[in-house]
Amino acid sequence: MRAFSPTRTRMQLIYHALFFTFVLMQAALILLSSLNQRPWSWWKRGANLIDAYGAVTGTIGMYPFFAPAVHPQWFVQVHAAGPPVYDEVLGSGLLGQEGALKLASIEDSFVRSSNIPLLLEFVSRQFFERHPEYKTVTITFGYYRVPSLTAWKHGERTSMTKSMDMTFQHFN
Amino acid sequence: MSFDAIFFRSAGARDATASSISWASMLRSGLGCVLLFQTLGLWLNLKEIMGPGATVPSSIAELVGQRWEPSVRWLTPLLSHAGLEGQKGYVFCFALYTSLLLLLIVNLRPKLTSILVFVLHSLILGSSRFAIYGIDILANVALFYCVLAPARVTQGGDTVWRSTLVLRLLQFHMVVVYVTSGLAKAIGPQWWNGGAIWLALGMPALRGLVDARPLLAAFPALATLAGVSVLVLEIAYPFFMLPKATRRVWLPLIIAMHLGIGLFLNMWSFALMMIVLNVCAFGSEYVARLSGRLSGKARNVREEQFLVQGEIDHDEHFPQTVVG
Repeated sequence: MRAFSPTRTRMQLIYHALFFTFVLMQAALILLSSLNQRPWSWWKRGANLIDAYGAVTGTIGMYPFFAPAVHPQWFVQVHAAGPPVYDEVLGSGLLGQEGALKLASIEDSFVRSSNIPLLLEFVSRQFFERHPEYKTVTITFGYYRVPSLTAWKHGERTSMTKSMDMTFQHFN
Repeated sequence: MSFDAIFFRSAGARDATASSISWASMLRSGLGCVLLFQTLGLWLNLKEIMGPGATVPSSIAELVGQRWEPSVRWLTPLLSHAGLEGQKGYVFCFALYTSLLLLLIVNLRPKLTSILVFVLHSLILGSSRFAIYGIDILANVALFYCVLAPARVTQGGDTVWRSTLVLRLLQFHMVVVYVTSGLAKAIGPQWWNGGAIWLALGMPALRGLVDARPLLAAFPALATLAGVSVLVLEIAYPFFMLPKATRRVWLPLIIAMHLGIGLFLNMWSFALMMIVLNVCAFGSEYVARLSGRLSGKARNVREEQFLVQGEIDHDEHFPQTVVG
């Protein structure tokens, strides 16, 4: 192959050697991070640099899509006493599927970091900004309970199970 | 075995040369299309996802991240100077990102466009950190490969070597993604008994074009079969994707699995992203051959025919051919 002909200059060889080393290191980063291994963690400043590089370039990461189990889908419901009564499941007014998936990811992020009250506070803030006419809002958090296959055959359908609610008041 | 043999001959000279010529441009165009599809969907609800009025305000998402993590906040002084404050700044970045995706699709200034899209994508992710899911992670990975791959590959030039090396890295990354994902699924019982499939289908956010639940209720074994099939396809990915003989079977199976995700779970952007990555990493040769035949351009086909027939001096037959 031409790429390895003896006519290649020394500079080209050095460049290719460096590029090859870079690719090998990338492969090592991909493999180690997927196994949740960080052998560079002992190297204080360098470790941060490698972590930053890996996170920005997508070299470091794990890929547990829907694994080991499929978690339930969460919901946030907004209820404000009227008149008129305001009742809406967050995201139900979204136009696209992509927006709905992003919203589901937001809810999931807050569940994983055990910060559900903070999420509810954000939702209430957004609600009062858009609907200043209301003074009190109750935000409910919960999950969609999918019935078992057998129960579904007997007519049971996906239902909403409440796990937490918080009431917020708006003061001018 | 020599270095040259390991990286160029082992998978077949035709694979190494023909695929490496076109895979990067295919990846840029395909990725551009998928991300444009996702972006157009997000435009409808942009103010919910990103900006000061989002469900989780971007200022919070930016604050939570490390100082080195890119976000639109980095551009705030520049945007404010241009009169683009608050939501306007985020809309501007998103509009710029959307426009650059169009350039990525047509492979205009591929290297520069790839770098700009990669940077803007990272900034947008940093400002909507809590809304990140599978497609965003893989888009980041794919965009990095677009940046790494040479812009144009000249036959017989050094770029072939570099392009092939990056392609091998992408293939390795795909193997890691599938195997780790498959093994993580196999740990729990849900994928072995079909429960995972049933639960995913029951989620309101993942309601697809086709509701498969009545079918699964009638034939419960189908859910188990689907779950185990996913495990087999993912865990056995390297054993069947790397050898060329089995790749012809495994690649369509993987594509079918992702089409199923799109059709039944309505995760079209994620499904299309995985299809593009798989086709570019392992099937660019087939696509190049097909498009060569369809477009009637004899050059690529002739080139492949020569390579199939045996050893030829490539540069003698195709002096300085530039393929985008």
